[in-house]
Amino acid sequence: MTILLFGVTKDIIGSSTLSMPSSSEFGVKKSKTVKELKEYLGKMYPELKKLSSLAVAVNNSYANDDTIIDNFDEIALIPPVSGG
Amino acid sequence: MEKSKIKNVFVPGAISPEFIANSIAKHQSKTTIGAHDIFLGQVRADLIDGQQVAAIEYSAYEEMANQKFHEIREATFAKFNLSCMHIYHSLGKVKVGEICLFVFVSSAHRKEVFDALHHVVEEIKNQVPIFGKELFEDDSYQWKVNK
Repeated sequence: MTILLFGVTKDIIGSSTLSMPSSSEFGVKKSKTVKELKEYLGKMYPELKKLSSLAVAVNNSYANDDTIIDNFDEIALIPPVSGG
Repeated sequence: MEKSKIKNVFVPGAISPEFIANSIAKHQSKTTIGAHDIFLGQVRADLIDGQQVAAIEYSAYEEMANQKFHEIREATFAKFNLSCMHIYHSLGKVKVGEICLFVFVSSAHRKEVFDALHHVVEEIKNQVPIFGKELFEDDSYQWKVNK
């Protein structure tokens, strides 16, 4: 699974995309949720936890913590927005 | 009421005053309109820890951003009695004093446009995945966060 990165998350992770290991390496065999993804990324990249907000978009929509992520979904990390 | 497919809201660089003037001129033929309201976002020369902002470089999750702009448009048309609405946002570098956001709403009467414009701009500021990098005069930068 590939995660698209934007804004400050690109700087923190050092790339514009992040390839995620398959779900078994999450420590959970079942489908993963947005919450689990955020916890995993927070452990790997503690700087992400310092952001005032960090949303996850699944297929171009903001997702809730309990949204299930599928390998075919388009996933993106959305740090605080600053349009306008 | 305008129903439309997803549009590309983004323009490269700053939005020029001429572009804005032309947009206004184009509405002279729409004679059911009695009121326009316009929001222009301008890049501010903030002083942050002794450093002055020289420009903002905008990037976006373009596909989702255009989708969000579309949802905001549709919801605003559903809520307010508007004749038309136009939204443009910059991508790339916009210098201080230049315009980075242009929102233009039109209706028969003033109350609708005042309320609709406020709603649209707040939604854009809170929802749309656009990211501004504040570039300082010495080439350092920081990521902007909307207040």
